[in-house]
Amino acid sequence: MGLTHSEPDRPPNGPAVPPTLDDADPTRRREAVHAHAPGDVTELIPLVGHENDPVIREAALTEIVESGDAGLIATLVPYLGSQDAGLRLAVVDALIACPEIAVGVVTPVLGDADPHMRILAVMVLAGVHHPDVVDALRHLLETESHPNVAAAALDVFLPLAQEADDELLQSVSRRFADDPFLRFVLQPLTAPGGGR
Amino acid sequence: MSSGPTLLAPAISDADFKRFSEFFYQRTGIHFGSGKRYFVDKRLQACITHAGEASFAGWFMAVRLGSQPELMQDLINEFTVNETYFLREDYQFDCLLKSVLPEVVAGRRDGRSADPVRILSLPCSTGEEPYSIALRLLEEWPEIAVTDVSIYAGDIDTTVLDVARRGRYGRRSLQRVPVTWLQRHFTRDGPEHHVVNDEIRSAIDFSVINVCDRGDIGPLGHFDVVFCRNLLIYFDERSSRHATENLYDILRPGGFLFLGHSESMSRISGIFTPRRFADALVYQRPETGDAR
Repeated sequence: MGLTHSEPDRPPNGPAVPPTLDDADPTRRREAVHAHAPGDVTELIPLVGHENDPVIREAALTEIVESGDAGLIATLVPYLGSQDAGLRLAVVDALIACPEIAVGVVTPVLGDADPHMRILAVMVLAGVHHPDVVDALRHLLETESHPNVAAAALDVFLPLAQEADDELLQSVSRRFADDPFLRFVLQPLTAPGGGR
Repeated sequence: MSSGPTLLAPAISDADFKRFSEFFYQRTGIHFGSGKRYFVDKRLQACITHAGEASFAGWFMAVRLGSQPELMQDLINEFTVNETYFLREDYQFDCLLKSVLPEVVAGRRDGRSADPVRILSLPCSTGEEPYSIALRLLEEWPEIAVTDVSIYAGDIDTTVLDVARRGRYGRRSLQRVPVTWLQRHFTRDGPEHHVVNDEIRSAIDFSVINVCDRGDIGPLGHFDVVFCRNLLIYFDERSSRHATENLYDILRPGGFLFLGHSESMSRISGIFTPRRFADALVYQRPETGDAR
């Protein structure tokens, strides 16, 4: 007994029957997810929506992200509106992992009629570290009417804002003059003698 | 002789210093007061020049945007001393001995498995981490007398693996190792160095492992415990997802993952279960299916 060497415990050959996405055994379903990559991962899109095991869902999302297929990744966007908070956040994280594609597919969601979708779009943009995010948020703040969306956008936008954005921030401040939180956030920038 | 145009160091104003200090504190927890101006300015100017920027403003915008992660890395490297040493972040080894291994061994007995307990150190850099695990087990874990333990260690960098296999370390690296341990497990090699004894060196399997490469990870088999400290913070989100999937794969169901103290697995993936022990937070692969 003590420090010793050991052999890998994996069987040298895999099971004879290939794993399937509807296998009752979650370990086999996860193997099936990885077996789909790097080829056609289209079948994994509906799996993301109905798979209840987050471990398998994460594996599917990782393979979809890894595919780098913008069209396929765009089909994840509707899941941002899911009633399942775990799924919504998993999709946010997956989109953040492909910044170039995410900016393109998520920026249009900033114009969605549902403020919750707009907030989730801001969450994605907050994580992608992409130069186009500043302009996208600037555009959103020009017209945004929901205080929670504006607050989420300002949280990302303010550290990146330039002197030229002072006029925009003044207009946001006027639009939400009755909102105590936004007044608190914007007052140091919009008060006389304030600003950057 | 003519000299070329003089390169002026970019100016750092009081406002720049304040903005930078706040930013750096938020990112790293390291605070620089105004008394550190000389220290900070010199290093900041080096970072700005190295990035090819002419002014603090342009450089700072690029760093804050995060579009060039290497800028942030240069910054961290410039402002921190990067070194590894024996028994670093020792509280995690306390957690291994007091909480994690007893659970692993108990699970082994319940399942009546005679397999050795398997521990992986990844990345192992120049070897201090896997040797520290071995030392703590031999010196402070009585169960080692009745339990087989295998330690694997891997790194993507073959140069550091060569150093690890040689097991020769200087005073700075060994400063936390008790003298009695040095006497028992090392051989003196000149006035400044010690070499890990062959009994321990030969017991650890060192190999080239890229955590993002399934081809590297697959043949390793399953582990009860994986130390993967201060690696994921250097990855972008996509690579982190990939590495996380691979770390999940190499752990046995119920196996434990140690990350660096500033790393959060929840940011990367919800597939592990956080376990808060008395000494440390550890991530556990669920026994079955659902991680939450």
